[in-house]
Amino acid sequence: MLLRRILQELESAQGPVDLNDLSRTLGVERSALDGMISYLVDKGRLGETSAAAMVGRCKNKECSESCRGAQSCQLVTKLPRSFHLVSHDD
Amino acid sequence: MAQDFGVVGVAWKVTAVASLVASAHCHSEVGQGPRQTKTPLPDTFTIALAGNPNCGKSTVFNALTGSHQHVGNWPGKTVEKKEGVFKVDGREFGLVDLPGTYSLTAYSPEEVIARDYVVDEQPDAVIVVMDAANLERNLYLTVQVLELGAPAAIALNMSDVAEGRGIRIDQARLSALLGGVPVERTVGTRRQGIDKLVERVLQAPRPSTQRFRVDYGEEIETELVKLEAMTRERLQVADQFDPRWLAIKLLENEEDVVARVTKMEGGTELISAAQDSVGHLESVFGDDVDIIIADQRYSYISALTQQVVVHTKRDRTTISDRIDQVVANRALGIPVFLLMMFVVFRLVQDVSAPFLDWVDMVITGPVSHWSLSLLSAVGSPVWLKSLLVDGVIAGVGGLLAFLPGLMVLYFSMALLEDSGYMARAAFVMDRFMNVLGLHGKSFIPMILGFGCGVPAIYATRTLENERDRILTGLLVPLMSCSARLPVYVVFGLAFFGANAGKLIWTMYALGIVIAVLAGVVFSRTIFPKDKDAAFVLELPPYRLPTFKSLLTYTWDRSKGFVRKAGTIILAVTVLLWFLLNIPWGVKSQRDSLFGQVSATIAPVFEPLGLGDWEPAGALVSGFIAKEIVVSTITQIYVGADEAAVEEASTLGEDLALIVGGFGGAVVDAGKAMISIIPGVNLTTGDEGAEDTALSGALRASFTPLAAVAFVAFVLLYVPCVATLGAIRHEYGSRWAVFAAVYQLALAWGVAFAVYQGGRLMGLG
Repeated sequence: MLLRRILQELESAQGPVDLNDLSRTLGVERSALDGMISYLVDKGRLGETSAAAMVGRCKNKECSESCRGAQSCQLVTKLPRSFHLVSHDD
Repeated sequence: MAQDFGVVGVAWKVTAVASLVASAHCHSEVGQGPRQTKTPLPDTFTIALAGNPNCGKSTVFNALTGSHQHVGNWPGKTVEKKEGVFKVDGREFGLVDLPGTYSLTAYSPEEVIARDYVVDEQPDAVIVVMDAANLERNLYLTVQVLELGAPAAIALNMSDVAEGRGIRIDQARLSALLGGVPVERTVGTRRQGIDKLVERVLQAPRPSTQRFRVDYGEEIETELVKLEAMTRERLQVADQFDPRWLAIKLLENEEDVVARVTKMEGGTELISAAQDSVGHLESVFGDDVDIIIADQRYSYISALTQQVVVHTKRDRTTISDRIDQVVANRALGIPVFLLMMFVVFRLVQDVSAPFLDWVDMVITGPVSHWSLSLLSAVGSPVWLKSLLVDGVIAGVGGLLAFLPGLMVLYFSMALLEDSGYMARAAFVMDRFMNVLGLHGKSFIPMILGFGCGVPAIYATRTLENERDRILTGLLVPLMSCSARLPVYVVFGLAFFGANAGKLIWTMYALGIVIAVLAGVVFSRTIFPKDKDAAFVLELPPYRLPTFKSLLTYTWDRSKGFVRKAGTIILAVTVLLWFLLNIPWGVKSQRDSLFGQVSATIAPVFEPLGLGDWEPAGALVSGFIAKEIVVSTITQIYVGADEAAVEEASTLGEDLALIVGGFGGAVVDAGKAMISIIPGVNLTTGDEGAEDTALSGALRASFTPLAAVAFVAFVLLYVPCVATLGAIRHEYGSRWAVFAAVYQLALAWGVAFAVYQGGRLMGLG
């Protein structure tokens, strides 16, 4: 049961988990793992904390003079995607 | 040989064949030469193309329809709809390009459109275009299309890409495992395999007893059988929905399906039974049923993929993987990071030094006496000449000398950020950050802080909880931003010459060390640590940034620096000149308003070896922007030195001096950059060795130990006004005040320790 194994791997991880390593551990293609991660995000089991957090609150040019607007935020393109476990109590 | 469409069990609406194809010599638009069978073509036929985004579906669509297509919107939606016709043996058939989706669950408008089209419009066939190089991911949609009961066929598209990567797919086995659905290899860009697939699809279907189904396990299958039977008995939906598919959707509690069924006669009882089943299954599994069903689906797909896909290339390690074996290695990662930072700062120093000499020569020479000559020619008063030469040119011009060095820093930061390294740094630093009560993701805003604190503070929005955001935001200003770099370079060159790079690197390292200590203290006091939340990080593949993107970033940041020099710093420089000359006509800067106020504050800095009014005044001016520290000390120490203005020469001599000097600086900087390679030394030791007026003035006013204390103070004290504003905006005024006060105290304490500790060790 792959989705549950993903959540178990995160629960037992001692530090950050790399998606490439996780796909090798689970024996699935990396792109398939992306699909599972997206599903878990849609279901509220994982939270994604990168682009949405930045763009959602952005007022253009508040952080940099070279800002080209929220939709083409350079910080967003540089920040790696990350996902965190959402506990059932949240 | 007629082939079925693989998935039956539904009384699917298929138009009967009206007549046979007349001749074996007909030329069809689809396929070359005579068709292999005499199976008659249907009168009408509509095919829907489904597939994941970026699977080449549109390429297939365009290959079949050519210019015979129409683009509009799906009714009531803003999603694009493409329809077209393709011809076979002179007959036209319809083709609909469904929106690219990863599944047919109702999470997005595209998914709802794709599913509703198949359910409501009932195309004669659905061709699922799959990216053969990413079969496992693409199978999720395929499985859902098959569960819908739609007559389907599969195009294993981008087969050339898959084969290039050593991916071999057993077509026959895949077809068998998916209930006999036709599978063809296609390359949409070359129209390979498409015609053959379409011909197979158009051949008359024959009802088959084969049925595709995913085994969801005993408990779920028991409930599905019950609900399927109820559906057949109570709802008249056999023509529209596959009963098993409907039962699955009811267990998954899909809102729009539930809404549809509720409106049907007998639907309410079915919904009630489904809810009972859901309740029972949730008590059995202890989890949501839709997640259990999806989990089974993914596991089925994974097992299927392992049966049909063979990787012929043994070593699937990518270049990124090999680099990460060193860079993201938990033992090597931190030393690699520190080494990279050292190389960057060494480069900054090596590039800065020749240009500092050149700018010093240009400013004290041609620019100053051109300005004086011009002002004299128009009869300007003496005070205006002093304002221009001693104020603006000394203050702003002296700061612009650091532009080449800063461009190296910006370029290096862009390279680190755009190459994909930043994600690795977060990964590598996680254990290190745990000591601070944070995790690796907090290191990313800190890396950004090496450029500028303002975007770094805003980047803390990506951290999950407020505690992490505020704690990270309080530590970000301890990462030495680019604005402090000119201070390090000036003092480094004045007191350490060729070893200035070591001072620069030491300051950056000191900032990191102090941040660690501050983080430890804060996380054990005002920010007690919550339980660790695990996180998954995507390490994107390394990529070589384009030169254009690097230059764009460097140019943007450099423009920002020049703009700042021409606005805020210019304004402060002019203000400072007035403050250094008020009361009007004052002979000594010490007796000016600025001098007197600075002298009043100076005793605070006495224990740090900085008890004179000049360093005190420079530090106060740095509250506005750290670069202003350099402008201030230049105005104070050099601006008043009239001997720094060299003797006049002709315009031609000046221009030759400027151009020749610039060329020499470029050559020297280039040699120094290349000499950073171990074993290579193109330098003669004289590059950047010329003593500038400022360097001489600083050595006359500071001891080396006091200089280090001064630089350490600049590293740590109050963030600039812009960064404080960002802190206030993100975390509130209380934290902005806290940041200012704690950093001021921290800076004083560290500078005190440096100076007094150095004296105790006999260094000063």
